[in-house]
Amino acid sequence: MRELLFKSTLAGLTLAMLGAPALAGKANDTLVWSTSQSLASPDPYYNQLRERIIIHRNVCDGLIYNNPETREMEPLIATSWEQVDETSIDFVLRQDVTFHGGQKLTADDVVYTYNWLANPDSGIVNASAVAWIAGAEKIDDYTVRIKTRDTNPTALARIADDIPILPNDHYADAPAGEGDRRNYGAVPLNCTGPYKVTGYVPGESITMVANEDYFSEGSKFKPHIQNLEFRTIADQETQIAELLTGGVGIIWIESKDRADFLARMGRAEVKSISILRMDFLQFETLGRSGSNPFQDIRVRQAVAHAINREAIAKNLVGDSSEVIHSHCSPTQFGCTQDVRKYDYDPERAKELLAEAGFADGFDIDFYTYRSRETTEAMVGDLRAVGIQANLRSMQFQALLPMQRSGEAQFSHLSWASLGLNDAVANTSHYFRGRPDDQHQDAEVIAWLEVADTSLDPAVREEHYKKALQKIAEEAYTVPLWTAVRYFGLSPDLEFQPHFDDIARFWAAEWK
Amino acid sequence: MSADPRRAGVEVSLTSTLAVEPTQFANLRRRALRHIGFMIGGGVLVLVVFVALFAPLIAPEDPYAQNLTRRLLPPIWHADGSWSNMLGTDSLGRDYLSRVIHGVRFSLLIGLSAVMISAVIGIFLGIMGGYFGGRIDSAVVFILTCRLALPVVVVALAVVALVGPSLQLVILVLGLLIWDRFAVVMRSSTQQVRGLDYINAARALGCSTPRILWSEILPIVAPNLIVVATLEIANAILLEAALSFLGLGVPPPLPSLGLMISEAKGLMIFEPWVIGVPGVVLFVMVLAINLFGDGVRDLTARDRSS
Repeated sequence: MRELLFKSTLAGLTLAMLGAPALAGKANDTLVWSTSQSLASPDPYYNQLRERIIIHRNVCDGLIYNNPETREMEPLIATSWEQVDETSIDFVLRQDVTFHGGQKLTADDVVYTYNWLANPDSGIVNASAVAWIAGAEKIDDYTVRIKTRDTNPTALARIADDIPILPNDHYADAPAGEGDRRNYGAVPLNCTGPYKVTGYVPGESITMVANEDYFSEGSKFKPHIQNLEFRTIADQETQIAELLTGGVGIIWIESKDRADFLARMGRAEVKSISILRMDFLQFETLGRSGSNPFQDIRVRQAVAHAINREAIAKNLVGDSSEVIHSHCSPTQFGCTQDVRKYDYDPERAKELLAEAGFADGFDIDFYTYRSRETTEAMVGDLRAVGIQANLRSMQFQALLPMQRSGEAQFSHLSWASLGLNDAVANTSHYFRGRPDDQHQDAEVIAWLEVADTSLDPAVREEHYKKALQKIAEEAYTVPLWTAVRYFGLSPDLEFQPHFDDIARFWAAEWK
Repeated sequence: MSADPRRAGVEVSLTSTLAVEPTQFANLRRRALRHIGFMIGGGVLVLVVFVALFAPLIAPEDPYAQNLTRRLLPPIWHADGSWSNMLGTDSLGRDYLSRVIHGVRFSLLIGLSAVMISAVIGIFLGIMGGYFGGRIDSAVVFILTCRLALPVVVVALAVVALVGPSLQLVILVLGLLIWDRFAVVMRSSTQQVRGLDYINAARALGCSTPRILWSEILPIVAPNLIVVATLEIANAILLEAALSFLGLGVPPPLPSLGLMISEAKGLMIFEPWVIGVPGVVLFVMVLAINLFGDGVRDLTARDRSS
């Protein structure tokens, strides 16, 4: 009966998909990757989705490569580099790199790309990710100097991960956009990476083919699989049906339960990995929208004691999820878990609430834009100590201004650190006096300013530790757990996920 | 027997009336018992109301009590099912039977409350327009037309999204949006009876307008309103389920059937019972209310025609 129901549902979903292209799989040497998101553009600078980042890492190259296995920087377009002063790094370029369009890569292309990003009029979507760039200078045809605005210990990591090199004058012929602006995102992508884009249907798919002339033979190399396609399938159930019927080769599974059931069926392989993204509870302690219970440290500590993080992480997020006590992802540079820990202790939570004058608990709106399941589990835990949390689920774009204005006093948030494995992209983002800092602690801000700008790793670690210990002591946030990415894979596919949540399709191969 | 012949006549008349009423009631009861839809709908509805009223006593567990170590236990008809959780558990380890029982309670609460609000609005507007006619009727028809131009689900979604979901808001929004049938039925029924002799007689006797509306018109059109009310209760329950399914109805962790269906959607392929249980309960409840409403309509229509 159960099998019959499953087959009926699957048959229904498969029928609904009839008409979709099905030229995928090992036989056609075509790997189809599907998520629910549609890409407005494959351009690396005018789109902010994680899918876009993954595509640009497969289609484009930065000057250097950040190896996820060794966590070391490796040569890519640049063969060597040297920090010449606190704000300048010189790069010597390879002379055998060609763009997908056929042009040879020279220093002019690197200078154009970096100066384009340094120009505020370029209007790139994620401007904060490149705000550190002061510009670039050509030293000779194959040597460039990258200038940073301040001393920046993470410049190399950002150069490796965030800055794909585009050809000189790439955006010169961009078509007209809205108002006075030009539509830079509409310029066809022309990079140097292991895959090259051959087709793009807005909102539907991007087709790519292996770059036969790819120059690199290091950690990034010529792909094993000839054809790669990104396809948008809005509904997860349809994605699963496509995976089971061979229509797609790889999907992201949106919950642990689905991943467990899919693995149990044995008709697709399921892999999971703990990624950089971390979840946390954010309190508004400045009282910008009127006084609230979380301005009392005892209430914040009570919440920290009330949440059964171990049980939620293990049962709802995944076995590879890690409970965290510090406001950073454990793999990030500068992150220490040597901070005050708040064990699951509902009785202690009730005591703290009573001491704070909330013996009968209180009602509060609880905002979230992430997994409703984990948030609802926390609502249950809070209810058990007397806090009636009214769940307000909304899109991130709607929640962000409420966060920044202080209107959202209690939220379940999640942060992926823009893929940067350094506390500067996480702890400093939320505690260094910037728009997302809900606490504005002068001491923490001062420590983080030192940590973010020193070139001495020991000094950086020491100051991040001080800041993180005070953040935990004050319970400004309740760090929860690291997120887990679940992959549903075709049984024919060999694919290795990485903690930085970048799918390296060039390394995937058929079994 | 009185010696006064006039008084004697009244007594005879009363006696004959009293003799007729039990006969009519017996006829009504006999027809009701033969009406399969009415009996099935009414029977299920009695059960639903019983469950709703005594939910805290019937439910085996606290519907909010989560236990993450016993998540997604299968229901009793599965090989791994057990009697300790007859309908299994949901993804947070809450007893599904307890959630369904309380879900029925919330659905009925929402349906009844929303219909009470909408009935007050619709009946007031309908009786005013139907009785007074003229400009008042034109104004009522204009308001009614405006209301009919509003897409209920879209407006409800927008309002709940703006204000934030809560049980009270869902009831209020639905109540303010589904009064149109009450108004239409009330207006046309009032128009039919307002010129009848007994209304004119009441006027001639000096009865006030509110008294005429309340005591003379409302009772005569009440059966029609009961039919509308039953249909609108079912409508409100379905609308609440739709809003909750879209995440803008009753907020979690309240055990709404629509919310349960929404939460179970992701496991539809693998564990169909998770979505099937609240889906079937919702279907049966709404079907029962509709069957009951149709039955009331059939029975009262025959009664009036006879």
